[in-house]
Amino acid sequence: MWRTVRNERGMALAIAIFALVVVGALVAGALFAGTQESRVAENNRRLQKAFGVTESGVNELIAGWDASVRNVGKIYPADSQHVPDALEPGTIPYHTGAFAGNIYKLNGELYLVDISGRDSQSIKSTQRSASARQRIGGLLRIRTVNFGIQGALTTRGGVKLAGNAAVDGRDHIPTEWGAANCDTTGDTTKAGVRTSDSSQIQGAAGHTYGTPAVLQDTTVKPNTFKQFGDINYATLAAMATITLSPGNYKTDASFNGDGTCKKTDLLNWGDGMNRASQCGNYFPIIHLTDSTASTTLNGNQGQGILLVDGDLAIQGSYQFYGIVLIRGSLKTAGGGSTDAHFWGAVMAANVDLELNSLTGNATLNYSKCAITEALERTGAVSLARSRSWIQLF
Amino acid sequence: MRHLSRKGFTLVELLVALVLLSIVSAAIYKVLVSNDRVYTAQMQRMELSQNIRAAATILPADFRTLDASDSDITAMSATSITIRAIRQLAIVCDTPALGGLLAGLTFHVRKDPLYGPRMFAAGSDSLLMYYEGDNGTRFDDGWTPAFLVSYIADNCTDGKPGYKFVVNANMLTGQVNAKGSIPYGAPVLGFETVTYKLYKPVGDTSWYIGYQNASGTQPLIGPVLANGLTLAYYDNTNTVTADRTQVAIIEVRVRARTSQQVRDAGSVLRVPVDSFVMKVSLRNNRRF
Repeated sequence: MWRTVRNERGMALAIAIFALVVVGALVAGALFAGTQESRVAENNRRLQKAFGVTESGVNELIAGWDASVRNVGKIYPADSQHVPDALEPGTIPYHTGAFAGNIYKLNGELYLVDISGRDSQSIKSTQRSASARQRIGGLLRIRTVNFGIQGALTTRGGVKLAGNAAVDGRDHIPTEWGAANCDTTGDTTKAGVRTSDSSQIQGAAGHTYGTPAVLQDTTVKPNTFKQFGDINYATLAAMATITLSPGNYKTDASFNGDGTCKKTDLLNWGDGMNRASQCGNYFPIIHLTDSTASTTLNGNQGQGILLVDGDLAIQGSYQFYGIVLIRGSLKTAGGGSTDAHFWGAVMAANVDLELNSLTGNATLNYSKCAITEALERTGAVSLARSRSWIQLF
Repeated sequence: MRHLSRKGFTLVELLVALVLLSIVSAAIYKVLVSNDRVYTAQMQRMELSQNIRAAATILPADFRTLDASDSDITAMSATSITIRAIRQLAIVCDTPALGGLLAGLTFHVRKDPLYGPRMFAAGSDSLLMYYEGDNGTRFDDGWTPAFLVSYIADNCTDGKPGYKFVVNANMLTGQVNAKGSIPYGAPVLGFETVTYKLYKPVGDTSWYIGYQNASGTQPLIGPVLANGLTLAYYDNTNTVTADRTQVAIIEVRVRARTSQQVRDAGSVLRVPVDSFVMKVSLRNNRRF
């Protein structure tokens, strides 16, 4: 039988418990501090990862830029585009992370992309506090092809002008276009005809206008028609929205049943004559193949950038708004009742321009507005020249 | 005579108890002191790590946004750098009426989107306004500096919320003071001039990485060693350069220390030191 000694006294147990509590508290404190430190370090690592994802997101967006979709949006605040969308899935390869954001079209040339990126761990986590996120802005500028246009018509071959034909280097806003959409900053009157040999221009008097009306420029070389800054003719042709073999075509705007622009129609080259229509902002790059053949355009209209491997013949009152680049020669006839065949600029490596059999007015009018529109609507984007990278908050 | 029935400790018992208590107390004291040292050392190291992390976050964030080719670095040395630090981004909704006086120029920016850790500060912040010039080419694109005189909340002409800015602009060489040069939708960047430098506050014996702006200088990161901030500048060929406009990469070297001495494993008092080196590529230099 156990007997309880009632008067036993001692402090060993109390001291031991006290010591254990103190040591335990210190160890717990140290562990807590260590854990917190570890978490902070891990969060920092994930933040760096999110930063990489975000920066990659901006670059992915630029790389996957489709001018025919992105460039036709309205200017902010009328519209903005959200990513991810059909063009941009918003994911980084190897499951590194994902990004999302908005594209703001600031004006005809500039875009602001506002991208937020998260690392893969943040995407999986359902806890808001566990999210590592970074936000970066990119200022994008339409990367217009530098055609080096210095005249309404640039050529290396002979030019024969007759009848009511005119090549006019003075800046024109297309009759059907409003001046409100045309920024004329930096405009200067160009030459009417810019050629490597002005002696080959026949009938210039009364048919050419500009400063000067005819410009002899020995820098006009074969490369003038092949290499445009860092892009060559083949690269440009490879970017074509519409590719056609030589033939006799009548092109005009066409529409789907629901009224939208029918871009699948290869003979729909936009609606420059009615910019307010659904095809008014459709500026395709058109490539007519076969350097040994000729293509005839016999009505009605087109806009964008027209690349012709062979010869080009224009009939009737055909209207084209933008840039025409012909590797062969250009022949125009007629003019009909509508003024001008071309608004913008024409570059022809070998031109035989005969208008004497025509009635009406067949003209080549330099138009900075038409050139700019064609370039901006077809151009890819790149980061702006400087200060295009912005840390957003 | 009363009989004393109270019990007590014998002298021997008392001595034994005291000796035992001393031994236990000494052991506890040693454990406590040891733990305190470990705790202090750990806290100091954590503080050190946090300083290093802060330096690795703050300095590169400001350096990345520099356009050295456009004079964003106004002074630089091995222990100090003075820069234009971008603080805001706004979008023009009503363009300035260019073609006349550049002093007192007015225009509107949108309230949304408007980015930045703080609002513009009139009288101290400066602006860089996107210069488009001829919109047919990218080769004349740039930024026009301006000083922000004042601003008020005022709607854009499309009725959306905005701010009306009054600035004194300064067109750079080659920029044309003509209508449309700063177009609708042009971005406007707000910046302040700041200096990061090795800095010892008055009355303090420690060195810090100091942050200097219009409000004065304050310690930002530290304490650091006397050689706690070293900056090196490289051009786009990765060659060291002394030309502020040619800087493409900034190498940041930070050597931080703890604020207190801590005992190491051998019970020797030391000042733990940690460091990092980071090369920051300037994202905004002119591309072509």
